[in-house]
Amino acid sequence: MALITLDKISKLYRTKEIETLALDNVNLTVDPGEFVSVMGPSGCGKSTLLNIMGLLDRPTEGTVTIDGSKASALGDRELARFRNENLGFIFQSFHLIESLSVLDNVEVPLIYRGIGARQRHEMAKEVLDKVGLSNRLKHHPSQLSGGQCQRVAIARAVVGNPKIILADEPTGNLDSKIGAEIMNLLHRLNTDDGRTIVMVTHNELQAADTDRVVRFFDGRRTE
Amino acid sequence: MIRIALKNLWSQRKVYGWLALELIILSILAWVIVDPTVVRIYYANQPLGYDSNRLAEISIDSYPSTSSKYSAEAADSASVSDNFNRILNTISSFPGVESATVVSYEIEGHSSWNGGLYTDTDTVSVTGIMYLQGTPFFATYGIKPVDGHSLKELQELGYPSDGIIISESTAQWLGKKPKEILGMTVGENQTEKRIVGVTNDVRPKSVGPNNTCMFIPATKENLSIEYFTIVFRLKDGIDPAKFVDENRNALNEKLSIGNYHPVELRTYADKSAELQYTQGYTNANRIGIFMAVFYLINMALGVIGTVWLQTRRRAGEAGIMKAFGARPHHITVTLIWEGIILTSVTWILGSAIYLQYALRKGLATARYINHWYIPKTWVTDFWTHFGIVALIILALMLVAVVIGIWIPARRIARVDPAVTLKDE
Ligand SMILES: Nc1ncnc2c1ncn2[C@@H]1O[C@H](COP(=O)(O)OP(=O)(O)O)[C@@H](O)[C@H]1O
Ligand SMILES: [Mg+2]
Repeated sequence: MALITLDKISKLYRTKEIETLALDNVNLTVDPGEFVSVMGPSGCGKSTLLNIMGLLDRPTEGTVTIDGSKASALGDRELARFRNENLGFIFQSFHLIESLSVLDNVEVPLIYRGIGARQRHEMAKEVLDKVGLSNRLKHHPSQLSGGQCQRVAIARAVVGNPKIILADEPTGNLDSKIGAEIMNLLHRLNTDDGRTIVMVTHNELQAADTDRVVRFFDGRRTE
Repeated sequence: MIRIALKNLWSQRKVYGWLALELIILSILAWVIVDPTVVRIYYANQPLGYDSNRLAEISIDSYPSTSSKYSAEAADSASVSDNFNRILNTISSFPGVESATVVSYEIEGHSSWNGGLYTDTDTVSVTGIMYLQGTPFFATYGIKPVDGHSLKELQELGYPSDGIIISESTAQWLGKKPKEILGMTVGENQTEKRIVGVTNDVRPKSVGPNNTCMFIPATKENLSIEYFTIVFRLKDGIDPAKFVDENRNALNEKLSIGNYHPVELRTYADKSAELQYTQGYTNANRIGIFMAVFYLINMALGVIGTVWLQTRRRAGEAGIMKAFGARPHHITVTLIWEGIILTSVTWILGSAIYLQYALRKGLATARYINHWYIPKTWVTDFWTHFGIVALIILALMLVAVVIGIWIPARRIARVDPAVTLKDE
């Protein structure tokens, strides 16, 4: 059975001046353990797709089902909990919290899960060790390089042990060498830990390395 | 969430520094406003020590010899004394009247008699109240004995003229329990007086605290009987305002005897309202409360402004937090914790600064004149007083700050993560 099912998803953005149909009747399924890349020109709706898949945004039409749960049936509280337990996000511009240290940033998902301080520290240190940042625990995001920031973000995405990782152009702000390191990490998360990954990318080579490529144009799937 | 709040505060210390400074200044100002207001409200709500319901009074004047209504034959002392007695009897037996007494420097009057009592070592200011011997003064006011005497006994104590009756806090000043103090002598106006009775504490003016009081049973000769006031209690179930309205004419007529004629009939409530008005008490209370409200609004606005300015950044953070499992409630609580921590710290600093002043100049008190003995309460105990007012100020500051944060926090907490997490 598919882990993620998007069924006839449309997303219409309405502002005062214009209406944008960011997604137009999109169907997509992702199986457990798959590494899927999403490609397409800028503005074609990739981020919108990922946000809807990650339950950060609601579709105008259609249904999202993740691991058997229908997203539209979840209330605010269950939604927060569902995101916390099942989804890990990685963004192009990292979105770390500047006022918190590296260790604190990684602990964020664990705080909302209600895990005690000592166990949080241990869990966060363990994943930071895996991404090679155990010597930067007390640093703040502004004191790190882009590659280091993205590794912190990856640590934060996986620390709560979610089944699904959603990555929106995770290497978009990094040079190719650092980008390759990040890709390595993602592949390890997929093959070693069996996590399902959906990644938006502009890089054909990176996409070619994944299990499947989904292409978009103007809010529609073309492949 | 407290930990995150602490870290946010620390990382935003430049922004919050200004707010903290404002809150420190406001908490010092809070002391200046709240302390006297709290003390005044506390005293205003203490028991009067007598029963002010169903009390009314009538003042009687005499025509001067220059008046056309003056009667020379009614002016000799025997007639005056006789007419005085007739007036008192008339009012005492008037339908609806339970009892009546004649007082000089009455309770809740404009003028008061600030006397003094002294021992070998000390002097205390007391409010003196004189009443006519033989009239049921204590029963009319509802002032009770606390020295073991019955009300009837208390009524008859004090004659002949060297006896005085004191209030409980006067006994407290003299360092004795009410029962132990009976028979003790104190100096009063160059004479020795014997303490013959002790009553509960009384607030001679509703605009002030309960004072040390002395009650002196005076003879007619000691009182000025050209002009005097009769205070009377109405029977149970009679409304004083109605009584005064309905009986004004009848009383005017019946109490115009010889040269005597009534000049003013009014309820105790009217008398009290007038006193409070002329002494600016009601105004002082209103100003105090107004200032406190103004100050709270100011504080809330300062906080709203500061948090509002950060809305964009905080909304960004909130979006991230939500993507990783925070509920709107978590976001609001974290922001409010920031406010609580900031308030508590600035409250401690502001209060510590004010304490330096208070240790030298004292806290708000009921009396700023020396020699008044103020009965021991939390107000007179420095540290209890400081602690209670400090906690009231903390509570007020927290209300203002929490409201000030909550208003913008609701907006921040409601942001849509998809909007704030856009990658440009
Ligand atoms: N919040 C929004 N309000 C209005 N239009 C939006 C909003 N978010 C995205 N869009 C529009 O929807 C389309 C798809 O955007 P997006 O999913 O970010 O594209 P991509 O990630 O593929 O570059 C774009 O035309 C964009 O302008
Ligand atoms: Mg995008």
